[in-house]
Amino acid sequence: MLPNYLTVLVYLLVGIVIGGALLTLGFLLGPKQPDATKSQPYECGFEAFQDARMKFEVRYYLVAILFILFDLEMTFLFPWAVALRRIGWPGFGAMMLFLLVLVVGFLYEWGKGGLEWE
Amino acid sequence: MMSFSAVAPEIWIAAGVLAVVGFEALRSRLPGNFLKTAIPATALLALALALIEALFWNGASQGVFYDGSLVIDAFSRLFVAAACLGALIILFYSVTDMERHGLGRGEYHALVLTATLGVVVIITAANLLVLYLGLELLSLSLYTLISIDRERIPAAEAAMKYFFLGAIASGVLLYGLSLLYGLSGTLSIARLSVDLVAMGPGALLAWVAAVFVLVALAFKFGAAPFHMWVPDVYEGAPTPITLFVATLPELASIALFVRLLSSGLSPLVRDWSGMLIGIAVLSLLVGNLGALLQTNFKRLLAYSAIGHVGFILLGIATGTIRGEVAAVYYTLVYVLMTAVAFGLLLALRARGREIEAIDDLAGLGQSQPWWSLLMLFAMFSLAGVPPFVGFWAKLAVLRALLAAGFPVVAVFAVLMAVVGAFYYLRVVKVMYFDRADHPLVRGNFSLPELVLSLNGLALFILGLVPNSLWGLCTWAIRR
Repeated sequence: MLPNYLTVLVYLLVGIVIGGALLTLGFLLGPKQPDATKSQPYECGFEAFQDARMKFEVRYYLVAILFILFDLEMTFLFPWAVALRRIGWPGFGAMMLFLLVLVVGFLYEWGKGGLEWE
Repeated sequence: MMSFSAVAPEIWIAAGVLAVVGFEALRSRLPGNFLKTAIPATALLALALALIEALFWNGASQGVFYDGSLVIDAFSRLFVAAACLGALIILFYSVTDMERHGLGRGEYHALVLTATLGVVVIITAANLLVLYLGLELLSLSLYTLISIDRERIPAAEAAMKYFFLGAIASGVLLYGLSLLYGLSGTLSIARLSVDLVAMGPGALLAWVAAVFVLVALAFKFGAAPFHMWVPDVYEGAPTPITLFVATLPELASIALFVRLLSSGLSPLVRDWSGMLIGIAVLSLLVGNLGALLQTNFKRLLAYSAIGHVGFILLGIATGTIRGEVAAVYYTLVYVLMTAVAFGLLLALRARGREIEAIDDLAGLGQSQPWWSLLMLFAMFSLAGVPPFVGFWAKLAVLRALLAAGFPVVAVFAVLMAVVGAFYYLRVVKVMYFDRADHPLVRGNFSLPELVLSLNGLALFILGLVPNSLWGLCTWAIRR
């Protein structure tokens, strides 16, 4: 039972080592010229401390929603790709159908100008 | 090889959605005149193909499909066909009007199709999660449809109200379903009832789950005391959308009651029967008394809807097969009658705009004799005047109530029907006896006129041969 989880442990350790190494290297080797704007927690234009009732740029939400939609598609695609040999052609067809639905939605948002920032 | 015949109507409707959205995506590259024909034609074609598929389901294609997700039985066959036919009729009535408001674009057709898809999924669901999936598909499409004219403030208000209350009701339903799942360990509606029988009577948690489910279903059906959204949504939404909200979701609601309450929770009938009687009596009271005070025609029909839902729920509340058949019969008849009333609202124009107040109908008897006759049919049928089909529906529910031993409730229902007759007959009086200070004209409504006339005549003809539809309903409910 327990040895089954050994791979998970190894995976975890490798992840920690690689992630930690990259962060440390960046910290040690990168140039450091801090200023007031850079040291804020968010760099996307929001003030960190102010009244919660403020005006939002509504376009962020469009971008965020579209991102979520197509990001979730990846979550479906990974397990599908791993299991493709077992689910065979019916599985392949089902995923192509799913992608077709997504592509039509993508064309729609494109045609409606949902991807244009200005 | 997997068979797709059980989901053939769903496939056609979904293909229609994809095609319409695809057309809309290419709007800037395609000629406008082509889109103006192609989008409604595609939507109508998809629904017609779905209807044909549903009609061609036969005894051999019945059963439970896809690991117990979908069930094709007589009820599915009757109601999927009814839903597709209803959506077709609604599109026929509403296309011209939506065009005039500048809303007849692909989004409208795509949303009507997804809502219909939701209704079809609910009707054929054999599994709690599939049922919930269909319900959400329907509800989300409805929220968007109601606010499709987003510049209009009443429409936005109605959509917000419906959205918040609807989201709470969905949560309540989901909580009830999760309790049922926790109790029985199964999502299958058929196995759920078996497990509940095995648990025996008096299980407190099962009772709590039944309350949650019942409250959510009553909300979705618009029954008192969960009716607050109905008048606002009916009045606030554009009339073609009101036509949709008033008809197809009712088919879905009765399907929810039949599938979930009368089948899945049938062992708990003692528990929910009394509650349902209470809800139904309250709906009759609120609907019929509330309608007396209305001057706006759409609000009048909203309160009338609450009253009719009361009648339908009385049929379910008897807990007998006969009552269930009566409720199903009443729902189909109600959808037919409402379609006529709203179709006429869409067809007529007073002072160059839509008819809103009941007084706008004054003088209709002289200026438009045929349409006023159809409106008379609809009002008499809603009021339950023989020989119109609405009378037979009320009679069926009352007889089921008496057979199940609820004479006091039956007497109350008759009293409320008498109260209801007053405001339906007032519409008739305004049409035929009030003097008009303005001419009533027909809107530009050429193609659907024939369908509307047939729909109106059906109220009369089905009233002369009530057994035809009744026979279908008996066939659909038999177990």
